[in-house]
Amino acid sequence: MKFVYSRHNLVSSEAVLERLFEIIPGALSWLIIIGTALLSWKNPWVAAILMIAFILYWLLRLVYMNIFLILSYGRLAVEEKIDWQKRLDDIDQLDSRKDIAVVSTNIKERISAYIHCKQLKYLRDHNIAPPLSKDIYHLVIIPVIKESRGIVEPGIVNIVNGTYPAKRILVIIAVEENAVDMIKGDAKSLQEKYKGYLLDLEIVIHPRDIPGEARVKGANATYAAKYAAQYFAKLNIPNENIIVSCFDADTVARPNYFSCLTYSFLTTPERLQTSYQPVPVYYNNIWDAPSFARIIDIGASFFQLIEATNPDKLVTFSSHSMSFKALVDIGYWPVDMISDDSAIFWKAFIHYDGEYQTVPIYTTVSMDIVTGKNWRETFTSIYKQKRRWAWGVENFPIVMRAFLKSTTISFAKKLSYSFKLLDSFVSWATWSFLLSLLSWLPSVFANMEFESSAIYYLAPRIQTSLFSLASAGLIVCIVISLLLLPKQKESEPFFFRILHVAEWIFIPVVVLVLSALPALDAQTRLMTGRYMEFWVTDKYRKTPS
Amino acid sequence: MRLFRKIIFFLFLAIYCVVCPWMILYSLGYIYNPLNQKMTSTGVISISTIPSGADVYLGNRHYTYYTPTLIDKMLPGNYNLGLKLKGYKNWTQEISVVSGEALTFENIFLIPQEWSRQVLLPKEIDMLMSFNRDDLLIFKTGSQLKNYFSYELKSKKVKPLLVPGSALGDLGDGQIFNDSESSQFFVTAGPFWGKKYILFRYRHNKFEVMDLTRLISGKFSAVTWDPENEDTLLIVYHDDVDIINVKDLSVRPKYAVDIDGYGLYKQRFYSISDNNIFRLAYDKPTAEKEGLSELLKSPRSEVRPASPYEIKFLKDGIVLFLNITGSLHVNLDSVPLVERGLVGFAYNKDKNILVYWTKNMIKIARFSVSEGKDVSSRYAIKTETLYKDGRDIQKCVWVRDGNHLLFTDNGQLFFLEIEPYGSNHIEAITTLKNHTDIYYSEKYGVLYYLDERTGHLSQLQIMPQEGFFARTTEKTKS
Repeated sequence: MKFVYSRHNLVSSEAVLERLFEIIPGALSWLIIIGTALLSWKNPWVAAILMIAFILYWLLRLVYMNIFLILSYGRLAVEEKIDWQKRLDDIDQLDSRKDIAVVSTNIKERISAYIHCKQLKYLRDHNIAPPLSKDIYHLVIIPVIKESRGIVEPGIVNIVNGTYPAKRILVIIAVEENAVDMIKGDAKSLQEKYKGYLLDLEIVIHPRDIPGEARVKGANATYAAKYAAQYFAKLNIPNENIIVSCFDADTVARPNYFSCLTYSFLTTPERLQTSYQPVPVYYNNIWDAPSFARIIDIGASFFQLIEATNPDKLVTFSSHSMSFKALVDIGYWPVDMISDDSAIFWKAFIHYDGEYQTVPIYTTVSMDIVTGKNWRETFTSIYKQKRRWAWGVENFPIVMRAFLKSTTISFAKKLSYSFKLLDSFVSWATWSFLLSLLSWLPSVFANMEFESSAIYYLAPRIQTSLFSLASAGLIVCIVISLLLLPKQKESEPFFFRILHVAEWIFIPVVVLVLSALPALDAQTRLMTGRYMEFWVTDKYRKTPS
Repeated sequence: MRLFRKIIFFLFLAIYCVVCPWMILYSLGYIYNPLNQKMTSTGVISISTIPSGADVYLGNRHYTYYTPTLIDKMLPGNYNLGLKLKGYKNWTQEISVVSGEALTFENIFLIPQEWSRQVLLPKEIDMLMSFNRDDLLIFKTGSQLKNYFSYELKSKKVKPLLVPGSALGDLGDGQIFNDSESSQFFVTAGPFWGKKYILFRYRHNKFEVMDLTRLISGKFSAVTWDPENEDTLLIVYHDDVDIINVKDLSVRPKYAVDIDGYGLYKQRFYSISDNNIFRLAYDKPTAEKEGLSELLKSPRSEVRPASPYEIKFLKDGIVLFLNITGSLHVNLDSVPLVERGLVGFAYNKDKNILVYWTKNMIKIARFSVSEGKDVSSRYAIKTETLYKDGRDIQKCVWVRDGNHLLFTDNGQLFFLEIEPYGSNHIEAITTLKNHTDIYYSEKYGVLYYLDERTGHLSQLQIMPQEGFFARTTEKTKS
């Protein structure tokens, strides 16, 4: 479907629709929060009953998510030590192999081997002939504006030292023209050092003030991608054989990332209409960051792990990969939107009339936890970052307009995606408020009549029991966070791990202040037409990652 | 994984659809009664005690939890609720459980088998005086001013209020005017031909003694002051009023004349004449009069208390009128709370309850907010008789939460617990020297009194010091 994925330069009817849909998420969130408070005041009976129903729903959903968190972590653990290059060889030899049995020793390998065999069998049974792995190239775009060499280099090192042949990886450091000379100098020195190990390491300077562009990362990445398209064209490498990965400047992909990505690419039947989403973790400076910063970003990783178990509704987030052909076909990343990471998925989804998906890949990309020079700056930086993440709500009105216009995407699909999109943002902004602050309001506003009713006493009792059961979910989160944590450096005492467990008791407050509040802030801004500008997070590392 | 996800989703959906309605019904008090195989609406009982940890009995059935606790799934009907705790007297109450409703017994005070008593001063004392300090008591051992002493509770030191050899020391005392919320008291002393008027004030950890004789022009009927502004005294001469400033020892004679009533509140002098209330700013050079008739008149009927009377202000515009004949009116109702014989009253600000008593009866007036816009219709008054078999009730004090009272009747000290349902619990605690005051320290939960036989200053621990009004989490006996 031809659709301009932007909120700018709309005709009046579209502009009205856009504005209407911009208002809906924020209005709904505020309605829930204020409505609950008002209902608690005016009719505490109904409010108490609704809170019980909500808390039970929340508890069941927490258990539901924990089940998939465990499964997803299990899958990650299973795939952790896989030799992806060998798997790629299996795919390359698919036609010549008589059987697809794979010998394995331990239970993890057996599970992984089973999944691998299933995928190979699927390809064979459906006569899908993927290209040879040696024909697959990678394009890695690293947009930079003020990140120094110390931040960018570790990511490049891991690319060079990865299991996938670096000579088939083109890295572009996309530098903004208005970056300071030191940053440009750093990029140059990285180019000199690592160019020889890769297919190439190019520096592309993104000019400022290109008409139609906002000061957003997507504009820089798009400019670099267009350069890359010309680069690959000169080498006669077809776009179908190129996988593009758009990383943040601080992204450090695991050494097996590109092998795992290539494997996923080759085994996905609709590989050219697919994005590939790794699990984002924030380990580069995890022990340098304050505790509240740690747990909020671990929560983000958990969220992605859980989402990975539902590929039907998975949307790209942060550092991810996709077919370069798809990127070119849909017109690259939006150049006027902050949330380019999720917008690219929706743009592709709409372009391909709903025949686009995101597939999880069970490997990790590590980034920095946002920090500052002191706790106050760190707190402010995290708040702003989460608000920027929540600004992904800007996609909602555009997607809704596209759905209204589309005649090819099925109604069921539109409804399903619309509901999930709206629900995810509204629940993000409201649940913490409901659970932490508003659930007790009926008791606070109780009049004498309500105070002498059975529900006045029984409702808090039920809520307390439900919250106690929910603490079991917290234990699951603590255990998985401990398992996911990077290996200790020798200089860090075991005490840090114990401290990390204790940090989780602050989760209700941290989530309220650093997750729900920024989300509500972002939705309110969209609702009131105060559109956000892109804000570059400061990255500090005391110790190298 | 898709199939598994769908299975889990529908399973959880089914769980929610089944559990949620049950949970909501339970919260409303409904349970499934297997006897008649129907959903039955039940009630709950919430109990907390001081101290906590009492065994709960419903009839003969011992409940497994102990206080503080919530007993749910109570079928409607009558029960005998009992509480037992070792070292304390059993507590019982007949209750009636109603469907969907909660009976709340908050902070039930369990009477100890043995009260914790202590003699503070083994010396015969004539009188103990209420004084608004938790670290100091005032008493006298004789009728002369030199026999007035203070007792410091921490250091246990006894000090005379007058310096030894004071010229005032041999004067015999007459009337004593004090306020239990104040740190000063006023005494008339000496023979009728040479009356002295002495003010004792506690300032800077010692007593100041001020002879106000020259400021007082003659026989007066009352002396009063606002505890929040003790520098200003009101001297009431039948229907005239002088205002004395204790700081600069000045007097404004006949500040108000021909008045039917008087009062001091928040640095304003209130007077009533011709059925109108006026407010004057006595700290200003000239009195600024401001009519406040709505305080006195109400839509229900004219309040016409007999004169002279004293005006006392409670909160939110509730005003009391006390008459020297012993009547008590409130501005919200034309019917007097007490027609005659009022001995005293005490106001619990937190719960907005007034306790007032005559020699024979103790009553309370609860002021609850109604829908009216002006003062007279903003509150509804509900009165209740707590005790009506008194012989010589002298003093009542609130014990913190508006549910408990201590009172003296004919030389006996009683503890009264106001029950929300059923009859109130009254327990005799001790005997004390008749017609002597008591002092209760809210802060420490301690009562100070004079022993009946010996007249010694003694203390009684009324409220336990640990876990005072603290709610602990619900526990089950192992």
